[in-house]
Amino acid sequence: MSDVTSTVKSKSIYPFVFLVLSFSAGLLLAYSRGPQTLPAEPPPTQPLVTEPLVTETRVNPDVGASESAIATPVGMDARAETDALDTRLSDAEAKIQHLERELVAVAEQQTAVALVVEAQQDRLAEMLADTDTGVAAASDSAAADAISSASPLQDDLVRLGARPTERGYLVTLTESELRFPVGGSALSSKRPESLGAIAEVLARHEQLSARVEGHTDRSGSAAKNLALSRERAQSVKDALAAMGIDAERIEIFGIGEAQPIDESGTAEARQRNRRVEVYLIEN
Amino acid sequence: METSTKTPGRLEHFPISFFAMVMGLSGLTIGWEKAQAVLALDLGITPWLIGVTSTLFIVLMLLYMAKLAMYRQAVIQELRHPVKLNFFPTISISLLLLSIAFLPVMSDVSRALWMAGTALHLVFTLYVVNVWIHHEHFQVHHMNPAWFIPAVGNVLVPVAGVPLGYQDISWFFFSTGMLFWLILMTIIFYRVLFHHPIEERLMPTLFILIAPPAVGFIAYSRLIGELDAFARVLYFIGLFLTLLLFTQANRFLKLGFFLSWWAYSFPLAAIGIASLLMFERTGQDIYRYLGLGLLTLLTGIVTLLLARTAIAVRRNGICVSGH
Repeated sequence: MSDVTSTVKSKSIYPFVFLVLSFSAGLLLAYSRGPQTLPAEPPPTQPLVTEPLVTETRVNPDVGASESAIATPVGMDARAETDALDTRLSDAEAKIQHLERELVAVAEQQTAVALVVEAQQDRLAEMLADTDTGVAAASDSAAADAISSASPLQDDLVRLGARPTERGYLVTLTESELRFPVGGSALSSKRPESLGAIAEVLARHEQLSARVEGHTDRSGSAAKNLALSRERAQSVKDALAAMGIDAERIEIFGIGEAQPIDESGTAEARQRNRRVEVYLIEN
Repeated sequence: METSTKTPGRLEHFPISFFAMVMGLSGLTIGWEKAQAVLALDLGITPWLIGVTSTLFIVLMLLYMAKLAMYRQAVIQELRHPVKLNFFPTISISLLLLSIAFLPVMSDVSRALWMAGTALHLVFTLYVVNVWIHHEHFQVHHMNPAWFIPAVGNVLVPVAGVPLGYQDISWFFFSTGMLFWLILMTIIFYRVLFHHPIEERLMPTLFILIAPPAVGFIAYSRLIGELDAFARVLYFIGLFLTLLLFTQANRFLKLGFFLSWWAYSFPLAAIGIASLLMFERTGQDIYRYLGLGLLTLLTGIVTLLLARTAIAVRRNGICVSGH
């Protein structure tokens, strides 16, 4: 009887050991890929400005030590404590980098708007000066021409949210905005409004040409991503052409995963990296 | 395995619950797709997993169609059976899961599978709920976690539906799934607390309890796009139920093999994937460890299940009357 019981017991231990080993294999896999690579991002529901940035990022040895003493079991050695502090530090650094990138983007946008406003003010001042010096009668028609030929383009670009760069005015279209299916390049039958707005600007200003660049994130193989990015750029070109824009005015490029705008590796970062950039270039 | 199942007598008793295998294998496929994305690794296993799962689905579908053609009465009996009835939506759920698995690799195939799965699932849900309402033979002991299967399928729709661009349809199915989850959860606890214990061969279906909150969390995250309070509530309910069932591991390990063992697989995949998603959303390493641990545990269990199912089929232990 006792033999039977022990056999049953020893038999029932095997599946248990097997399951424990299976679970441990996953822990080992996670450990072997190194410590956490994604920075601890604030949940998107919390606005970034409300983050207690200073307390999060400043590593005060006293505070850090007391916090980790609470958070970890008593008797944790100094090395583990240092590791914990290092992780906190790298988290905080990643967060700072993320915020800095956002700040730069906002600053660039502000500069762009300021530049356009400044240009328009200068133009207005010039025209007012012309009018004041008495050659008003003759130059009135010239000023009107200037307004109608130059200001509308800048107005349109501001309305479009285009950002001036060295390579032209940049409009960034996200994957979700273009409604691309995951891993696919076909635009849905409903054309995004932003694409229609770009087509309108191109139609109104014949002197503009467009450079369309497709970008992807780093999931999957680089070769597939390169092909996908080019196909998506081609889809955008086709859509613009279908809206009446001469295809010869549009150049396309597939960049693949080579130029990410956010390298933090989070799901949100990957989403930002999957995009199509349209540069409007004045010829 | 397939050839032996095709003998006339066995085909008649070919159980609809076989499709739970596709659910488990799809869960494994999607889990490893997610894990590879999280670990930034390409293990080259995705096409194999998708291939095996799709082939199994096609083989089971053909066998069940043959059963429908040759033994229509047997299929009708299953449709009227108070427990087996709930396994019919495993067909549409398999289609929906395959659409999720195909999503990162072939979006056109994924779209077609999603449309077929969603439409079929609506039909099954309406049929099953109609039977629930206008029944004459249900007793409280018929109630078991397999009743959750139609509800889980509804919650699955947004997972591929949102990326494919069907926002409102996804919300419709998600809401329906949540409604039935709450109702059935209440009834199942009432049955477990105050009536006979669940019969041994349906014990593994208790694991199905994990699926609605775990899949609900994944689906809700797709719909909302952020980690809000409700998303966290769903995830932690799923995690609690997982812990609750793990503490009863000893009871489960003593059970004999039934096809219902496959019920372990999909819910484990769901909570594993949900943990990896939590890692992506929060950046906290604990979820990465938990997600990968659950995923390799699932891999071990699926390997065991495949072996046990093959042995059972060889010994004529599955396609028999009453299974």
